[in-house]
Amino acid sequence: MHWRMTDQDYGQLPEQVGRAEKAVQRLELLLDTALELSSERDLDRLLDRIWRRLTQVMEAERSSLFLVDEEEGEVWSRIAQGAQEIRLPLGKGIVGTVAKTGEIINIPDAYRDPRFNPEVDRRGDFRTRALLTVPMKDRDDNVIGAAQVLNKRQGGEIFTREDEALLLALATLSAVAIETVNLYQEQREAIDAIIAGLNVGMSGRDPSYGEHVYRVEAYCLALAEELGVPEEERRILRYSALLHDLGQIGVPDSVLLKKAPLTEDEEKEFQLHALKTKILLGKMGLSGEMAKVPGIAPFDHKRMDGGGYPDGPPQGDEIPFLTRILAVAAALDVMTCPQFGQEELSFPRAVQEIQKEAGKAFDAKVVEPLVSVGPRLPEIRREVEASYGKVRVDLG
Amino acid sequence: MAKEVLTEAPEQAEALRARLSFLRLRADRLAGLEQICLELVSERSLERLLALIMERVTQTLRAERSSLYLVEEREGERMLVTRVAQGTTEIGVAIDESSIAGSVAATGEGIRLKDAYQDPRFDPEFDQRNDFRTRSVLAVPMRNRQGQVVGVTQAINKVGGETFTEEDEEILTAFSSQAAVAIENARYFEEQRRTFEGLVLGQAVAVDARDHLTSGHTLRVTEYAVQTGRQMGLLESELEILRYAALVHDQGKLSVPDYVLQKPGGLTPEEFSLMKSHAAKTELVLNAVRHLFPRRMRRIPEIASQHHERLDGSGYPKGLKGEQIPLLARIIAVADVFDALTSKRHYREPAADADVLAILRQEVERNHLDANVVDALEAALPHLVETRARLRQEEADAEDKGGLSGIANLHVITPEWQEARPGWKGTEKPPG
Repeated sequence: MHWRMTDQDYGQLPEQVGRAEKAVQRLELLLDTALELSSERDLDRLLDRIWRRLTQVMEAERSSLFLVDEEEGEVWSRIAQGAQEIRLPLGKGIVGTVAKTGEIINIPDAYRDPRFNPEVDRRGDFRTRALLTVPMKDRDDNVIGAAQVLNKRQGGEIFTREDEALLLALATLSAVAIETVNLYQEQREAIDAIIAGLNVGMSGRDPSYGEHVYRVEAYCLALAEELGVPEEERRILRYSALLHDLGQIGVPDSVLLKKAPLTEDEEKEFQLHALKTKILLGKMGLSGEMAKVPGIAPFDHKRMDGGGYPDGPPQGDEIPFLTRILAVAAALDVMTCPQFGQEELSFPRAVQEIQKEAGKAFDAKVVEPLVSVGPRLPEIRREVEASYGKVRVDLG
Repeated sequence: MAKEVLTEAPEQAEALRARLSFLRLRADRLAGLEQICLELVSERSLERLLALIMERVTQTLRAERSSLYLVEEREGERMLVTRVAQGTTEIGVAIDESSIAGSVAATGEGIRLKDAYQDPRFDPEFDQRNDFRTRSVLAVPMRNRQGQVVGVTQAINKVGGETFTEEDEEILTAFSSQAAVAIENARYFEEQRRTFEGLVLGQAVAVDARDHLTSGHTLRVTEYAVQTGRQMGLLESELEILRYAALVHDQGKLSVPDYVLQKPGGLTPEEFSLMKSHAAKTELVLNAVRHLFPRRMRRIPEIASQHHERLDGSGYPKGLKGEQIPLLARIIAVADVFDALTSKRHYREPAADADVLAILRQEVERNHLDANVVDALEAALPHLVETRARLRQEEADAEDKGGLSGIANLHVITPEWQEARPGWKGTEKPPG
């Protein structure tokens, strides 16, 4: 630890104690930062937290954070959440050099250093004096970015060796946290991709499958927003919508692909898809937030007043709230885009039909927001169909 | 100057010196903690993480040993669970005042004991079984960022001292917060990994289950391919890609019509070409979502869809030749043929392994299959045979217990069918 002192001169005792107090205080802050950063699972929010911590822990006037984009040969930064992205070439300028070489650049007076570009100050009424930039290295010593602090608020004009060490420690903590969040992001992408592949593949057999699933997803999210469903629950709802008809994999072509109304026997065969969804999802060992999906997705055909399918629980009040949303969304789509040659209803008609069933087939509380969501449905549908067109393939 | 200070105010200097050495010690410990914290959050495997935490507790606090309890749900009840060592069975402890760890979790307060045997909550059973003598104990709650108690860390027998100090308690508490976050992260990582696995496996099983006679095909091909790849010395990261590609290699069969998939007897040329279209469909479907995959997985569509290509260019869907076919696809091709020949079909019984190897050799001679891959498969054959027996057993067990690979035929699933399999009821909750 560079900022620990080893001086044996007792005459310096009060000052030494002061410095030791400061070192301990900084370490405590560093640990608190570690805790905060490693708890974050979203990259944007993490970058924002790092940026705030850099300024706070380093007692600087300003700070910034840059990440390396290997493919583009650039470093990029989002100064604050929502702000525009800045991109600089890797290897050029102060930040670009640090991010490329992994060296520390500590400039006591920016305006006397040719590497400093005063353009940066000219955009606002800020004047850079001291400027410290350190590399952000992961555990394998790869430089993944650079952290920069500007102007000390306290304790002198220039950044000291202790400051360098502290900023490096912060940068390492940040790098590890960023790596972790990137890994989670990768995992979520892989999960989303495999579900998308499944839906596209299912559509190869029944072209209406993917469109149905993605419209239901969108209607669910519109209703959930209106109903104030929290973010985590909305993700579960989204996955439930995307997987709610999975059991159709096990419905014979003779039924699934029929273009006319089903006979009674065929209808029975078709209804078994809900049971098959339940069985398939139940056996996948979905984990974490997704563990709730098998308890939600298969039951969109259950009625609040009893009945519906599949047989067995959940009944009535036991039906999860997210399933009730899914039920309304799926019904909306089945009425406006019927699969088996039934009469196609307009959105206002479909909404009316669902409203008639409020408190009977559907939960009245979920039907309620249809008043405000209803007029937006055609637009939502157009958006879904436009974006689905991008991944849809014709499998003949 | 220095002497002056000392003579003028010796007591003050003494106090300052004491303060300084306290601060230095504290800075050392905090710096050590920071390093440990980096180490903890970089560990993705929960099992390794737990071992690492215990190791670092023992070191940092200079204890003889340490233990770790996590709050988990067992049969609907929250309790403290500990695994003494890798592979050993877990021990459950109630969250109440009947034990030291239980008390800590129940009250949220740390406990420091000079002599555990003086405390009625101490259970000497561990000592008796392991010929150990517990003396001093320090146990603190492990809290997550929301302040909830998610576990208990415990250090036992202070080395070179009678008991753990207040400072030790403070350090262990800070350490435990870091450990809690690392554990939650490792769990989240593991949950997401399992979810992805479940989706890929479930999809593979469902594709196979559209056609009763090929049930289990995808899982077997996947295992055969990975074992062959391992025999060839592929890196773990390559084996992972190979595994996922093998799991989705027949995804295109989702859209092959029932009458082709389930036809007893031989196929007409037209039906055969529909059957063959599955490889092209696998590619079309996976390519459509390729951009959604994380970068390192984007080779999967290509590898998965080229398992019917042959080295001489006579395969499908693209008629690629030799090195144009990625190695991982060549491995899946061999594993696929091996499974097809060693499995029962509508129209024939499975062939013996020796005969199948002879056929694979002929396929090498005809420049269809890769000689190195067939060599590797032959070298790994004992493992493959073992795997096949295990998968068959698992399939049979799953049929009884309701496991994923027990779904052999989706067409027969009805409420009555489900009733007839007790294990299949109420299994919405995933195992573990």
